[in-house]
Amino acid sequence: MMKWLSWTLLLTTVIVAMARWFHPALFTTLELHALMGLTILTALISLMYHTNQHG
Amino acid sequence: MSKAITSVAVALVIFVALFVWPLFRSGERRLGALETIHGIPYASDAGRIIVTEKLAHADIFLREPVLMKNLTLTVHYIPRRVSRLSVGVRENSFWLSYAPTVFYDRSSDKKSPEDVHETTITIPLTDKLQEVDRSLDLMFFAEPGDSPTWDIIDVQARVEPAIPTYAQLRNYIKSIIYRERAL
Repeated sequence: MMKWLSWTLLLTTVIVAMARWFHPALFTTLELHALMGLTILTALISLMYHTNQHG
Repeated sequence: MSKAITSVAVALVIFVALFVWPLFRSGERRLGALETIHGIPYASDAGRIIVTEKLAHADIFLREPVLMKNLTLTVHYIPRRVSRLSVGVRENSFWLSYAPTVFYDRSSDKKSPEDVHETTITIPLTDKLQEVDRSLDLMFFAEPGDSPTWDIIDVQARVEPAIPTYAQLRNYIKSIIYRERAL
């Protein structure tokens, strides 16, 4: 579940970053950074869970 | 495979939600200093800004995209030596691309030009030029062009959600597509 969520958030971050390239006023830097932070956090939790499961 | 499709769908839903959420926000927005077109702030005296040129510029700092937004300006002013006053928001990259809305005309004014006047103006924002920091350019125009004098006591700027016209929406999309951007 966490792995899927981190991939989904990564995809969202990429879409938001692309929209910001089209026009920076569409999303703020704060929103983009918050998404990036959330993506990294879920990826780390997913990795920790995976490590615990497999030794 | 279905997990990948769900992932894309959820990502798109989050993207749309993040974009749509600020469109329904409303409230007062901060106005920058009132300046001449050369960026020199106008002098103020006892809380009043004395405008002595034809044009007076200020930035409005929005916290959302201009899409589906109306700007409501409430201006308290003393017309003194002007026959007409109007205000507009910049529309495109040309520095003087404004469609001014007249808010004071001496010929139809029943008060004395030395009295404090209050006017509320509503300007649709969807087709206006928004800078990368989400600010807008606001310009006051005074007539006659040579040596006008009028005082601004207070300007309040509010944004409200509004349904744009088809033409405004088309201009908004065009402005995003054709915006000059660094590669």
